[in-house]
Amino acid sequence: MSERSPFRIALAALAWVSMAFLVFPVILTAVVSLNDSFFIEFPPKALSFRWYENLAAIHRIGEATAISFAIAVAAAGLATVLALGAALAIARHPFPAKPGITAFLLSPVTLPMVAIGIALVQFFIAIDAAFTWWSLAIGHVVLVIAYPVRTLVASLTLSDTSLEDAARSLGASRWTAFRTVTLPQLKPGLVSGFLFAFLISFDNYPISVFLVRGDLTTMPIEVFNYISNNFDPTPAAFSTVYILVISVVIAAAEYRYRIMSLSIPRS
Amino acid sequence: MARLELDRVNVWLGGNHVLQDLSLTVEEGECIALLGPSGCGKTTTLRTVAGFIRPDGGDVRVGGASIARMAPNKRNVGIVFQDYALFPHMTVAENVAYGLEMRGVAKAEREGRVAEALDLVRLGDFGARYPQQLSGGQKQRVALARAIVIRPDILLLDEPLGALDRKLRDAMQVELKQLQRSLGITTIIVTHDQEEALSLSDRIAVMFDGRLHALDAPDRLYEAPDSARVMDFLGAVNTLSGTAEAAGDSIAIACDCGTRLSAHIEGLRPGRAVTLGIRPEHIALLPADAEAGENAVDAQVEEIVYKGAFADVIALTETGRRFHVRTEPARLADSGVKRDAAVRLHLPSRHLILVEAS
Repeated sequence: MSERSPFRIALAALAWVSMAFLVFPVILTAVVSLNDSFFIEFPPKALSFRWYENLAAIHRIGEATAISFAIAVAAAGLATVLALGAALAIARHPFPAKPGITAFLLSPVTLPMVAIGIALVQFFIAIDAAFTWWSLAIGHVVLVIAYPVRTLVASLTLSDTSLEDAARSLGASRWTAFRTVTLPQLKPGLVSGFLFAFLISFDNYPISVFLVRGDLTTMPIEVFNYISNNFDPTPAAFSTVYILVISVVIAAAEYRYRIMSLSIPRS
Repeated sequence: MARLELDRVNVWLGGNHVLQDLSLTVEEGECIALLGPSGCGKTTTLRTVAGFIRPDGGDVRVGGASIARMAPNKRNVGIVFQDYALFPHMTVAENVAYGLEMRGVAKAEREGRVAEALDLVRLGDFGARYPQQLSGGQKQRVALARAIVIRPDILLLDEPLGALDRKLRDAMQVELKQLQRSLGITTIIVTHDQEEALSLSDRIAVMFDGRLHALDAPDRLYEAPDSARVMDFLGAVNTLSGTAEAAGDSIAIACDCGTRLSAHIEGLRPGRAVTLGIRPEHIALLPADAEAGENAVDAQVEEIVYKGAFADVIALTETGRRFHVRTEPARLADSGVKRDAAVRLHLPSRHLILVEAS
């Protein structure tokens, strides 16, 4: 195919449009957050950092962010540990109904979140554990477990089982071989699985909204509540900070562990 | 270093009888090649000796003691894996030190032994590198150093040269053989490459369908195999069939090549159908007007395939039999043999292999 064929030009144009579509809202948010005006307007007339100074105006934003962070760490951590066991079984051992069980573990990604939220709250009310910190964390484990399962199955499939055999033949017990040889191979899968789980949990709204009550609220819920009652660009300032922090974390993880190669399915 | 015995070992895997009553003794310091087509059970044999597969029947003994129920990490067996299986997150020195660490060898001694092992495989300066910074041949040598540094009773090599290119393979063949001999470790090499088996081992065990078919020194197995299957598997061969006829002290065989071949084969009674083999390099290519001596067959050259060090000549007899003859290109040029030329083939009786009489 020649460099300038119409097909290639169309394809390149489509790619650029898609990327612009992804990036534009982010840029818009940042621009709006720097606008001095009280109303969200574009283009901005004067620049200022006043909305960044106003972040505390979001009700309980500090506490809610701390809760979101703790919940996300707990849910992602627990999900990653559970997913490691599940992924080892899926990738290494034959067992009955494997495709069904694998699909079940990955299903929270495809099911409507509202349905999962309603189911979870009913379940937690039934066992008399609703609206507690741990019920929120467990609910988030259900939400995010598909991500580490997926990255760890990918990691294990790429990893070489003869490495573990080699370690065993050199005198390592089953557990030592797993710990010293297999686990280091799984680092990218563990890191990316944890990170995706963390991110999905950290800014989840539709499931959290069913599981929170009173002082137990999360960051997305408080931000949404603020937006419902106010029209100023404070949430845009918050989002901009959020996007910057997350971008740095992901870039660092990608640089260190090449996590993208595991999350983008290869054909 | 010890004698390894496989005693009527049976292994079933996924409903298949992969190893059937396999008995094999590898003497102390001996190097045996397990040779066979893929799926013949040679890798299963290796994994059984390593301890990754538990035999369903029979016993595996090292130095007389049974290891059949022992975990892989309790056996003192060094393995060089086909893909080397070097730990990618460890340096070369860390890879080699791993087995010593597992054995609780103190740091100072460990470092000394690692350096010694790396020197032995001529990688003394490569300790700080990572496996992905090494070439295929270097990785192979690290895998070898890692396996021998633990001073194993048994050394297992799984297709050791399979992943290397031709030139490197030839060099490593010599190196591996010298190393095995100088260390005197009881060794099993698993390979489907007959050249590797012929050049590296003291004896070759030929396996088909989970059974041991032949066990002998490489030259004896090549020159005088005792079954058609082994003869056919080891190198190229011309297979002939015929009927034995009485003729003085030797025996004549009326052959499907249109001649009576005389052969010195004891115990063969007249009237029996026989299968004979002759290696392509053992057939002499003579001009058509050469003196018609014993065991001469007239044929016409159908094709000449130049292969550098040698040339393969395909010759067709009047009876429609094709002979595969291997000769030196220089000799071919001297004799002026060309395509479609008439030639006389000489099949020396001492090179005729009798493999089957029915």
